Amino acid sequence: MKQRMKLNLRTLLVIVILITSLSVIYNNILTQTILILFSIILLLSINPSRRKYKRIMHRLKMLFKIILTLMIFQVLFRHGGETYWQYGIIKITSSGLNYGIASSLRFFIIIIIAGILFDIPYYDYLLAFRAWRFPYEISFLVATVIHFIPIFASQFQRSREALQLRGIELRKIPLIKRSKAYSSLLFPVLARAISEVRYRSISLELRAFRLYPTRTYLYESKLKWYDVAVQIAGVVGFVVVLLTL
Amino acid sequence: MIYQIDQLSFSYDGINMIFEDINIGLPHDKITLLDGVNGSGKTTFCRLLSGLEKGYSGKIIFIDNILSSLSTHQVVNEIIYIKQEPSANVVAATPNEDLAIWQHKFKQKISDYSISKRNEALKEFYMDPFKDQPFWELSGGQIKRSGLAALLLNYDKYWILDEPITGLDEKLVDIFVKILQKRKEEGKGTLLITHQQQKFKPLIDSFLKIENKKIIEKT
Repeated sequence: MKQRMKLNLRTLLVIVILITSLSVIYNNILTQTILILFSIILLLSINPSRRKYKRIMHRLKMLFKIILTLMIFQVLFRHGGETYWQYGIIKITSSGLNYGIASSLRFFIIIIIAGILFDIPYYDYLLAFRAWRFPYEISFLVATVIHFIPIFASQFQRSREALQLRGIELRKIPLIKRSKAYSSLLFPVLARAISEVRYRSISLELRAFRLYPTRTYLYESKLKWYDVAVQIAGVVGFVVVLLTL
Repeated sequence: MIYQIDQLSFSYDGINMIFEDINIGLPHDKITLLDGVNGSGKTTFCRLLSGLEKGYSGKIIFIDNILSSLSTHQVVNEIIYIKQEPSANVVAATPNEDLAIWQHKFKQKISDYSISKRNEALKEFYMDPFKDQPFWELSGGQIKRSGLAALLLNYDKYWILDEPITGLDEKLVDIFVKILQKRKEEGKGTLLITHQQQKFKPLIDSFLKIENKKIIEKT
């Protein structure tokens, strides 16, 4: 059976760095739209499961209102360029409109990219960073941070479910009490997530972490021809964009 | 029947089926034991019954209502589901606070009566000395006991218990068996999942087993 081409994590990381860099440098609607398309292609290239799609869509749905609110504020209160509409101090200008929409699109890029990176196994990160000759401590730290975010999210999800099972619907609680409820939930969630990391450090100690200056690895991060091709194409494209735009 | 299940099929990913064409009923006043090998879908079944998982085919009738038309909030007015993993049953920082949330739900004020009920529940599972200790300083067994104490605050509901005695010592298991015995006498129902079945055998009214994506009644 023909094996499906699967991009190496190093290739994904290179493309992610290029996409996010361009997204920061060029804050206009057209660039952000093109970068969203590239992010979606990148997402498709890793052949995500239905669950992963659902998770990303769920995140987009959850954050949509916040992104929309931020966009409205940017559009109304950021002034510059041509004025399209004005009422007192509130006015919609070309600069505000462009900035508001472009910033919202940038949020979508971040959510898609995060969706790609968060579910990749922790060990793959270690192998990728090793191949780039990063010091092990640094790669371990980065991999742990990337790994910690989904742990925190799953802890929060678990608490939310526990509340549901108590018949508590946070949305239906008055605003002041709701903020009190969130604050009393957030601290234990954080503490539990940190304590999970503590168990991780204990298991590392038990495996004699850093006992020897060098480590051995069972697997290696090897680039295929298409990884090299995608990386070169990405970097060339990046340089061309920088030089021409 | 508290639950009547007809032609239930369920899968998380749409490909690998967990259940296929399940047809069973759970009486509201009986103790039912559910058995099955690891990964057979016992926890998933509990999640389906508590309304946490949707997207199934077939029908689950819950006290004369179609379960999928009810919110989790409506379902948990009649049932309490205690999960297998101890920390999944707690939300607050300490056992005392956690049980308080069960009672006030961030809405009502707490009366002296509620406080005494809470203390009684914690005492039943020997949790009173640790009631104000943060959960992250407690052992797995102690967190489990705190979760079980919540059962006593929801005594009249139908209990769905996923491995409730895992991690408990002999003495606590005996206490728990006594509580179930009392419920049985009072005609209050429970769905119990446990691999340590010996102690519960005299209490069980019906045995169910998950086998090959089906739930079958054992005699």
